[in-house]
Amino acid sequence: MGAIVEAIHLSKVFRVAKDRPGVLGALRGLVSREGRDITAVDDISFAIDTGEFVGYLGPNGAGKSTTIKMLAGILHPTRGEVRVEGKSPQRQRREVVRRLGVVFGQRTQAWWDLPVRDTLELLAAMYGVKPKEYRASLKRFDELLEIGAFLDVPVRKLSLGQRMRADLAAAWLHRPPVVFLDEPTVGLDAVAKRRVREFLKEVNRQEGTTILLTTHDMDDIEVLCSRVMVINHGRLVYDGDLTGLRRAVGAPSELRVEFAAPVGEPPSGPWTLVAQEGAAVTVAFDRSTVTAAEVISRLSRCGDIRDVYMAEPDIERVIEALYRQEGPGSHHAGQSRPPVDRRRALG
Amino acid sequence: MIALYLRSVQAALRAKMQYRTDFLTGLVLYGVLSATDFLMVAAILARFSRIGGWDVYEVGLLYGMASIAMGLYRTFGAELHAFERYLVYGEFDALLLRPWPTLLTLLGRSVEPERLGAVLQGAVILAVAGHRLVETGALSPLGLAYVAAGSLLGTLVPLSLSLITAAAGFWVVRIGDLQTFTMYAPVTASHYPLTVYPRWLRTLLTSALPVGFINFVPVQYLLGKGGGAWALWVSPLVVVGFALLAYGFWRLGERHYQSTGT
Amino acid sequence: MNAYILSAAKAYRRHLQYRAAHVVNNVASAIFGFMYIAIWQAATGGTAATGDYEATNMARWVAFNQAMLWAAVFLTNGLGIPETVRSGSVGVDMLRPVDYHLFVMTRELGTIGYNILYRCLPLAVVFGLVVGVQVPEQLVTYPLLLAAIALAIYNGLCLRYLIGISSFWTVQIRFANHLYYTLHTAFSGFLVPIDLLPPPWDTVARLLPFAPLHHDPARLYLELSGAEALAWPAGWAVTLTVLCRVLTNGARRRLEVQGG
Repeated sequence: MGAIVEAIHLSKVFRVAKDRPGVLGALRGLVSREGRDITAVDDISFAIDTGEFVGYLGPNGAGKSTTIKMLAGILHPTRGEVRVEGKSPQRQRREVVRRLGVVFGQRTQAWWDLPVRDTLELLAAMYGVKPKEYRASLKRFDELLEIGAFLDVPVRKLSLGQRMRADLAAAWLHRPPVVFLDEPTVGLDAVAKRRVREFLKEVNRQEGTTILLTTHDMDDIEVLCSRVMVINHGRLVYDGDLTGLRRAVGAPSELRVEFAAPVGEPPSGPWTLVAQEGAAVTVAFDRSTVTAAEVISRLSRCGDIRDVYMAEPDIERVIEALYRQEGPGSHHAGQSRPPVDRRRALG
Repeated sequence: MIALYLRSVQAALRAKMQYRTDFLTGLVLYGVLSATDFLMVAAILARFSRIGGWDVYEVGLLYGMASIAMGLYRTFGAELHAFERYLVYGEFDALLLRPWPTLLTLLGRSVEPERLGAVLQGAVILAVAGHRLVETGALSPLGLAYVAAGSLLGTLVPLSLSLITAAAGFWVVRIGDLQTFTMYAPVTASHYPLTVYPRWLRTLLTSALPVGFINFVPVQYLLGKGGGAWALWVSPLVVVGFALLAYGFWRLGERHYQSTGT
Repeated sequence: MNAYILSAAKAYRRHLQYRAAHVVNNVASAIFGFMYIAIWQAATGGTAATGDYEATNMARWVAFNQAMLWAAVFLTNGLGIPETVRSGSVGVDMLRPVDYHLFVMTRELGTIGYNILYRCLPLAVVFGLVVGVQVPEQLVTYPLLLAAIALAIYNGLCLRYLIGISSFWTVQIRFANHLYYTLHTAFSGFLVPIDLLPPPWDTVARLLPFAPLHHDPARLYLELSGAEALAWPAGWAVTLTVLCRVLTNGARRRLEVQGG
């Protein structure tokens, strides 16, 4: 299957106006284009295939939002190009967004003072969804998201979780082949998070929706994403699957070995001892330098092994380690935005 | 596209009607309160009988037209009027995600029906003044029909001024202060015959801020106070042309937004 | 005492950031002024001098009041109280060891100070160049005028405070502001001197607290009235102060009962 979303040498440079003192300075600032350049996204290229579920990770200000905004046509790249189904969202904005779903976890798409149903009806009209398809979608959303219970409640009275479910329904109403999700689980409780994940998994599998998702919740990534891209300081520092990510970072895996009888001195080898309690020994080792089998076989020399437990490194720690690694683009400052908590209708 | 806009407006109205008492108080208040502007004009005219050769009914015609145009704009252009918020809080992004022209999506998102109170107030003053002028023979019935139609078309002028101001926001972000200059001042000025103003102000009000074409230019001819028959067809042309120009500027600003970010 | 001055200074500095945007606003204000002056000239031009309010006096009347708008009328809506009521932070504000009423009013003095320096004075210079400045003939006019302006500012502050504090009881604050501007237009005499209004409008206008914002100081400025023009504004200042205190106490009680 071919690439449905492509970023080709994508860069975005923001120009920040220099503050000048005084009235004259402020007036000059209006006309002059002098300022400081900030590279938010620095020469990023990737291709996402139809049906892929990609997690897009990075610390705050790394360039995640800027990338998504360029992919969705909200921003023009300074250099490079975006292709969604072969079209440029900048030059053919209306054609592209018709085939796109976008959810910003921080804001709702829904009409604040109206029941969810009204928003969905209006969106159906906007995207030209046929009445029959509309009814079918509504039924399906009720099965998957249980939105039927609050379809006639004004959006302002919904809980955060209900609102996110409504937003997901709104984004999928016109059955877009591509959906961008910006932190869809932010601020949700565990139950709501699980429901959102189940829905995403389902539509990705059944409808083949291509999904790009940004999140700070590593569980989202672990449960949902077959592929992970990591951006830091505006540069793509990793693109591959989760296992590869762990390997690339070289975060230690942990092995807990239970011997038949307590072993005397701590065994030494290409690992570090984490704990030793009676007959149980836990060691941490780097998978890129030594295999698990090798570690077990070396440990078995100390005594008879009764049981072995493997613990993969916590993805959260992997990412932390990755962020800490100073990339070549580390001199670029990221774009940070003030937190936006205004929840208005985005109809 | 129009159908979709109407649907949007319908939904926006439904949202508004959740607060029905607000709507009713607003309707009455806007109606009564806007009338004070005319009361001030009337007070001056009660004392001096004429301003620049125009009596209270003639000025009433100007006032009524401008009031209807501005009131309709404030009713249906509510979101555009509050556009600064979209730029400051980055809400403009959401408009770009819809498969429609951004302006259409924007305008459909909310209406302020209570502002129709001001329209009603303008219509009443227009009707009273028009009736009297037709009675005295100063204005032909056909002329009055032109005035009524001109008031409606005139809505395009404040709308276009607002559109240009909003589009300027794509560069300067803060447009609240600019609106006083581009909207409130010229619309207030159009309540009076433009001939009372110094030349530079009159020029401004018939060129860059063309509020003169809402009312003064055609009404001056209709009341036989100057100008030529050309005023009757030039005015709507200027109004429509200005609207197209404003929309072009809006499109330019939109592209600028996309290439610079918020 | 320090906290009051500091909050005023902060408000002043906050406005300082937007000086460039305010230049545009000043231009608009000046245009409004020129418009009104032209209208008055067109109205009075034909007739012979009409006593106190002939063309020159009216031009100066408009110019003076256009500048006064920024000192006494164009203040922060509800002095910023409605927002804090909505967000609930007013509870914290009222707990602070300062007098709430005094604190909110002095904070606004920073805005007024900024407005006087960057809006009133530039406007005064522009208008002065065009319509001339009225130089008082009597020395006593200076202190009287200063007192009248101070009273106008104080009364303007109190009125705004009353609107703001009323947001404890009503959410219709949007209409309150609109109502305030309308009453101001109709009854302050800033465009049409109250003496020129037809009865009974003029009588009502004389009684309401809007005349002290424009009509009374403008008459003093043009030396059409003497010290007696201060009596009514001073009376209103006392009355409004009492009203502010009563409503502040009411708001505090309401806060204690309902917890915001």
